[in-house]
Amino acid sequence: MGRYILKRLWRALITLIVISMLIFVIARVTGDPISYLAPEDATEQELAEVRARLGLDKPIYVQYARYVGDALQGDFGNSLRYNRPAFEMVLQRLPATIQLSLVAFLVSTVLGIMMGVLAALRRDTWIDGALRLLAVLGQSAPSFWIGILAIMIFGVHLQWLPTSGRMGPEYLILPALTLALFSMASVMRLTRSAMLETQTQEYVKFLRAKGVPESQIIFKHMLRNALVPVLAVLGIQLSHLVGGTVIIEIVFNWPGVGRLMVEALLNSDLPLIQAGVILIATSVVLVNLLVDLSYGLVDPRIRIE
Amino acid sequence: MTKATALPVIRVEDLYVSLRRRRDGATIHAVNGVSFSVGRGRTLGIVGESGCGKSTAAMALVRLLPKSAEVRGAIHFDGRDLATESQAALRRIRGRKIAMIFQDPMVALDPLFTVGDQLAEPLREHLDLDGDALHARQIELLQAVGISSPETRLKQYPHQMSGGMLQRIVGAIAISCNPELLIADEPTTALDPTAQAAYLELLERLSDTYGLALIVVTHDMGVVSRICHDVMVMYAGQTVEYGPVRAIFDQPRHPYTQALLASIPHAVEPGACLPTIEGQPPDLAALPPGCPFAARCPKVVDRCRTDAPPPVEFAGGQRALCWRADER
Amino acid sequence: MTTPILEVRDLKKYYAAAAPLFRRGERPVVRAVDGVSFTIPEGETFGLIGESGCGKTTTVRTLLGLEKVTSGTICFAGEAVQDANAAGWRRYRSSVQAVFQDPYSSLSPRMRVWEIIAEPLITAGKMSKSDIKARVAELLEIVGLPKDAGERFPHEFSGGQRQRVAIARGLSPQPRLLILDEPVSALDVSIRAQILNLLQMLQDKFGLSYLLISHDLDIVAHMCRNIAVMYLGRIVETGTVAQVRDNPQHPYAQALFSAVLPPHPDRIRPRIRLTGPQPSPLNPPSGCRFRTRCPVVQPICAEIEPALEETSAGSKAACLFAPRPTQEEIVP
Repeated sequence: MGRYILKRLWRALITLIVISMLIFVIARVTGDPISYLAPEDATEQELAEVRARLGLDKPIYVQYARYVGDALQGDFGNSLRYNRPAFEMVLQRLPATIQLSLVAFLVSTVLGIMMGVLAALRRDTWIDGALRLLAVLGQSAPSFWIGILAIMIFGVHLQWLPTSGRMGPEYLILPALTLALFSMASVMRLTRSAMLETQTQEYVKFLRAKGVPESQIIFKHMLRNALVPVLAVLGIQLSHLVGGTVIIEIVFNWPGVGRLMVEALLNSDLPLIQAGVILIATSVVLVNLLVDLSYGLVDPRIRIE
Repeated sequence: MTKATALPVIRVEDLYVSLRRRRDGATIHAVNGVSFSVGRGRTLGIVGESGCGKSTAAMALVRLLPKSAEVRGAIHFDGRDLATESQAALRRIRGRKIAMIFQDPMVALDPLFTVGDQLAEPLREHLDLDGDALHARQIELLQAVGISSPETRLKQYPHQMSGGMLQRIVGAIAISCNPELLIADEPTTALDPTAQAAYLELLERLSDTYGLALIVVTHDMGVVSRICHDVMVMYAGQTVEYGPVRAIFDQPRHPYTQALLASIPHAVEPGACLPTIEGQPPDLAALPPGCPFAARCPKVVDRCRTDAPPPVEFAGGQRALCWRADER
Repeated sequence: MTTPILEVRDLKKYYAAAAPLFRRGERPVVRAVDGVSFTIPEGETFGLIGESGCGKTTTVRTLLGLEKVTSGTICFAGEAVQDANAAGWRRYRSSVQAVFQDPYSSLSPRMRVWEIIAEPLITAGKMSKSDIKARVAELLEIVGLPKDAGERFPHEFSGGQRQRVAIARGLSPQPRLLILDEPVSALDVSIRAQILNLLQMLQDKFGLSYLLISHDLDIVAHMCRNIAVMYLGRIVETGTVAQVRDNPQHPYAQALFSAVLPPHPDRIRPRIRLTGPQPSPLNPPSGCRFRTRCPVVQPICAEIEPALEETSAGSKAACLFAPRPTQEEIVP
């Protein structure tokens, strides 16, 4: 198991390094930040001064070295637009995004697994058919469309739920559910097929021959075995959720990192972009690492190596 | 010395099992009027080729069949008729009074749980054992099947054990609640010769030690000759021959049995042609009238195709279902 | 004496296992095949028997070119094969074909039967399409399949019929040697007889040589002239069927043959039981590899690795205590 963990840690580290380099390069290739900062009629000399002040005239590798050094201390510089430390700005918005992703993840996981088990146990009945239809819809409908639809129905017509901002727990409901829909569908389908697969395993036949009650066979044995492949997908879902809240945040006006990122990109606000992407990337990598490590908990064959 | 007692442990009368074929919904007559009994300490071999219904008949004894299956006939066990008992009642019998083991011990256990946990399941479920009493019984069982360092083994997972060890674990689980009948469904098909021989010896020993009635379902006449006292030969869901093993091997009366025994390579000169049975077994969804073997039988006469042959009795309890059974 | 169709000398196939995390030194090696030698005369059937993990499957894979040889030589009809050039290799591959165990997974379910049989010919690219079709029709007849079988898919056939397709495929490039890896284990008893008879007939008719791998000792005894018993990557006994089966000299061969199921209830023999831990090919025991399970092991067995030598029974056995023909040996 130790070897397994070390390999994963090593890969995580490499991933982060590569991402930081990519961001560094891409941010500089697209858009010249100076043009946003300096006034329209700035002279070349003034532009050169600003560049020198921001260190943008040094050779690229020097800039990169400074960048890494600063980043490790949490210093990404100030947002060009807001003139506040970029890192702080992102950090301030992070809890909102994390909250949204986590709740959406929990909802999609719990509901997805429940629906998947139900569909597998009631295979080929109308319940199974209905659930699978729901899954197809969830995976094919674009999230912004679902979001807007939800706003119209629950916010405007029925007036049950608020649809904008983050001023209390009830504000979380619509965005989280909308965000959850897609991954819930994937989880449901995968759980269903994994359950069906375990049904054909020899040990299930033997468990029945032992007289073990059917509920125990389903929930103790089959479900746990079915979860092994589902866990892999869950990990991916979570990492997508962490990085993919942008659209939902915009539709529901949710004050998270995603929205901030869109603004920063439109403004070519380099420091902010860098801070945001690095933070999101780190979260995703961490999540994946945790998921990888959790395999060992569920599947003893990996644990004992 | 015979170990058979007057009252058999299990007595099956006229068992019929039909299944629904998934592909087109056709009804498959998997078992068509099978009768047999097994006494305490006796071993019955149910032998036949794939599709003859032997596994279905075995599973029917504990009603481990798909929901679409229909069972008719009587299965007398422990003063009841298992063919009519509820599924709840049968669940209490499975693993407790009738144990069943299957082909490959390597895949018989759930890979995510320890061996100890899976051994404990029937003990908890049927005998209500817990704590120290449970643990003591687990150790006792592992020792009974010849496993050393049982304490360590209980905490291990199936993938940490060899095939031979898993065989014995499966055997231990089977006898854990002191069953009266053990059914082994093709227990040796996936195994090497030495593993096969060891498994059969284990089954034999368990049967001798605990007075179990044992039913072994197999396609291998070698298994039958090694550990069975009686044998029932099945073809297309029916019994074609039944009787003590020696009698059947010495003088098989049914042409199918004769052909099976003759096609074993051991019976033939090396390099010579092996006698074969031409053709294919019939479609169980569309059984022809008369004897099911008529289309392939080397001794067929017209009557075989129209009238189903009744059992013909011979000395020593042998019977064969063939119009020409009593010819030499 | 004519050139044997296949001569294998000191064949070795090692696999590198995963290196341990923090230890320096050599990577552990799995010695799947560790010095195997045998000869198959042309037109004969040679049997290779052994239990799971003995290396017989790896040997087959090496002979078919699916694995690279670690060391040793493979001579086909007198020509060395293991480092042949591309042309030599192609010649070898079309002269040596295989039929595998599982008729349900060895045929591609998406190809029609005629395509499956014609594949080796199409790949060789030397025959015209009409010639190929004619050859396929010929092969279908030889293996006893109906003419229209070609247009159908494997799943429409029974196990025995699929095995016939596999045999037809094996025969299509006109090989001289067929490797049969458990060709009938997955089939019913009555079908086995049909396939074995077919194989026998094909051998007589075309002068084919067979390498038969099986753990069913009865089938091996029926079909083979000479056999070799493998254990943990090595051959422990070899000789004619009569010698090895009826009078095995190596304790493992003795135990193996004693485990054969009796043909009649009156002929149940006592079985030699093997106890002791199963050794792993990663770390074979010193000296004789079988010593950890041998019922007649002696201390000296841990020190000397026995070579395959002639015994007084006529077979060759790799055991220090097998009776030799020229010396008086003390048999424990």
